[in-house]
Amino acid sequence: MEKEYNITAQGSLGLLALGHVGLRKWREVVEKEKIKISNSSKGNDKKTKK
Amino acid sequence: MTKKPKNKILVIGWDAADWKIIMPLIEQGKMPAIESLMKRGVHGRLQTLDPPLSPMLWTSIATGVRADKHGIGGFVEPTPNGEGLRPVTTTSRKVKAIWNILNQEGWKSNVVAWWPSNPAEPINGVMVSNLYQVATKALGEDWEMPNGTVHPASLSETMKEFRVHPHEISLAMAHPFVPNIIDNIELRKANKTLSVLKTLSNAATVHAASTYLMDETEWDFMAVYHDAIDHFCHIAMRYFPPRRPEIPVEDFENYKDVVEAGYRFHDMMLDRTLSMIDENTTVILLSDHGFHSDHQRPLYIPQEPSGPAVEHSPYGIFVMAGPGVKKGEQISGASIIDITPTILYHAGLPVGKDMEGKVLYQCFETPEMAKMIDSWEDVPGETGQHDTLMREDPWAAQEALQQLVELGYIEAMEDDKLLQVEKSKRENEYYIARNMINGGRLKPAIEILERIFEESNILRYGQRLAFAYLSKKMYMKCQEVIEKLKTIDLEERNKRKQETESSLDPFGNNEFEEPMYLEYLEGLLNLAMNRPRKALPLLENVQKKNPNNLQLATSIAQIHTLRKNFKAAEKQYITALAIDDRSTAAHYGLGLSFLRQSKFNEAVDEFLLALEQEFFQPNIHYHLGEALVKLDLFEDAVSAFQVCIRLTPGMTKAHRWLAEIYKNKLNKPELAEQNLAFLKTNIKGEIIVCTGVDNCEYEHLLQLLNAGGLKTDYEQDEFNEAAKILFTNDWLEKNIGKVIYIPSRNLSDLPANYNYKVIYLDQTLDEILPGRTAKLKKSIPEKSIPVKVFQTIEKEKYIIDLWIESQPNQQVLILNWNELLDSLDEQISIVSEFLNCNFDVNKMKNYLSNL
Repeated sequence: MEKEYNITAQGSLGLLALGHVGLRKWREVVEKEKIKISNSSKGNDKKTKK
Repeated sequence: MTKKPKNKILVIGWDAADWKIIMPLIEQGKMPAIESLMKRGVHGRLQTLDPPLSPMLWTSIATGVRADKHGIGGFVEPTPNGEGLRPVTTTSRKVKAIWNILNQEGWKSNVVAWWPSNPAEPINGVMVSNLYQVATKALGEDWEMPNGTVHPASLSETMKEFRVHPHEISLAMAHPFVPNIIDNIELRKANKTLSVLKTLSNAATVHAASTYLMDETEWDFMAVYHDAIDHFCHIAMRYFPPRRPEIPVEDFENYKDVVEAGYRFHDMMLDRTLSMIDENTTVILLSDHGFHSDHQRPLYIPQEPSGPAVEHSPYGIFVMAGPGVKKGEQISGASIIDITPTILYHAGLPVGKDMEGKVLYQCFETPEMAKMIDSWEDVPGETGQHDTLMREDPWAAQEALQQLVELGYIEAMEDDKLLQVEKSKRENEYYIARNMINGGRLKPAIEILERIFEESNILRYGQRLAFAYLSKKMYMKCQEVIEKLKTIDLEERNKRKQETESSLDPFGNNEFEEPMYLEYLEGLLNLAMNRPRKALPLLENVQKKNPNNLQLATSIAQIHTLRKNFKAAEKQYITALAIDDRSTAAHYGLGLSFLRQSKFNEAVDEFLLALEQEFFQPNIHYHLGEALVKLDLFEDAVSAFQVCIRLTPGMTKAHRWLAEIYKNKLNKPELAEQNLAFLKTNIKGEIIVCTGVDNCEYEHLLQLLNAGGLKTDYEQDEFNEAAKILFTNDWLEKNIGKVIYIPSRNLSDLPANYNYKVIYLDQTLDEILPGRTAKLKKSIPEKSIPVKVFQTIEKEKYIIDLWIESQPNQQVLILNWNELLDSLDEQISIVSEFLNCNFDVNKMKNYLSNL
């Protein structure tokens, strides 16, 4: 049975200890977070321009 | 032809891991993965080699030979053009590593980050080199891997993904190591914190690469090396609790958790790794050396190449689990050099006779004799070794070098690079010479040390040379080097004094402040030359300033033992055990002290503790046997003597004891006969030994026996020889069948390959005192008691009793000189019967009447 993990952009030692699998999952979250921040900052820029 | 192995083998290296840290963490439930592995298999200490330098040691682990044979001498090597330095490379290794041998046998291997493994070797499998995890660029920049990092090169792009950059390490990840990092922004920029993050990222990189390869490739053998525990410890062991007074409270609070967090993270990685293998895979987890974590932590790190190695302790860890391996047992007597022979044996392959290590049979449930071949070097086949030197990215190598500089393993580059290369070459030769000494090859080591000391006048080289001379019993040479060291040392100290008056950095170089090593050397030299009286004050003085030096405490204890002062020896051995309760020498020495004080139960306990640490020690088994005899535990004593004989078949003393016990205690004359038969063929002959306290009438006794017809044939020189019997006993052979005099203090030095009949000339104090006081050129006032002389005589008598007691089945005749004079006929008849000879009594009487 697969376990469910709540992975945050901060990551954890536990994720690093999972090896390549944990590293990939964590980086995916970090990338998503970056995109989210980038989109949100773009949105803010648009709002500011208005 | 591919020969598929029965089972996979996984070797995990944790540089510098030490049981002294792991055991308490296991007890607290903080390292469950290693605990479960230990329960599934065997575990024990793993003895390191000298010098405890990782590239040299990990290559010995992977090859089963020492540095002079495998060729990896230190951390760096000159570049092919000789004008610079680079981290050691695989191309410098002169022999096959275990994965090369397995390659020939059709095994597929993965090797990750082994030291050294750059450039990666073209093995049948994957090799990821030790330069793989080193970040050479800032986060986000193109972080290229140097050529030769990954074999096969086609896997390079894939492997790049698993590298964790130090700047990727988040606060959440760093928090267990440096808890204050969350609130203290300045702390995040501190060099030490950055070093912790770099080490953590390296560990995560190696782990991610290895889990990927475990998951995605076929493999039969896998070796993964982590250097992070060693690095965490070098960065922060000084802050490991308890805080020492010289450590600032703030630094302690910031970095006290680094070491524990490092170990726990490794346990988490181990847990994951173990979850990826099945029960048919054999796992070996080991470290190359330990790391002092208690009162043995050095106060000073010498500012010299490889100075930080002073923090390393001589025992690493060893855990092995898998099919055919015993479960839940502790083993002893393992050394890092035994790993490759043990893997070969477990893989069903022959062990090279040219390998210096041994198979650790004690790990296996049903061990069988290993198959042997002369050398794997002569076996043809595709080994996966490099054909020629490969070029590598010098800047990536330079970055790795810089990391070594930061850790203090090597000195920062000087402007004059050629000079630096020359110095490094010499340093490498020094390490190889030390490694040779460690392997008992003193002669070639001395040749190297003589040359490099002559060339450089570097004190360390001279010290090591003096120790090598000492081990080789070249005492005059040793003394010469000590004198030269004194001169150089004085010059260096004067120079240093002129240069700076600055206050001492608690972790700075203290080498020249107190040349204690010179006194230490002189003390050991005097001890070796059987001058315990001169050695003792020198070593005691050194001990005052180095109370935590194990070697020193055991050396002082040895002096007390030599002087038969067993109570004082006991005290020093207890001091030694307070420094390291796992010291075999200290447990053994303490056992001997107890034995000689007739504390037999305590002696047995100590001998057993010593054997728990190192089983293959025939002398310990012998003395255990002796103590058991004293406790009337004859069956147990027989077992101890038999083990002793298995380890050293020619030990005549053990055969004597066995013959005595079988014949007189266990009523097994047929077994006694076997030992007696051995003795008959191995004993050179019988010598009559006359002994007694100093100034006893031994000369008259010898002359008397000579007059009666017994060959004495002694010359004055031989009395001097008798005093040096520990060093040379060749002269004994020409005295077979004759009578010789041995002073009481030298009785224990008599070799075991002769039979002795001992005539102990016992005299009363009144008889000896006049001679003794005349010797001291003192007259004793009437009615006074010369207490000191009395005590000395009593001690000499005690030494004789002690020796007689410790000899199995020893034939001793106690003879009183005055009684001999009073009733000559009767006494001569007793001596005659004892020696089984007929005397010319008239000539003897003549001799006495002329006295």
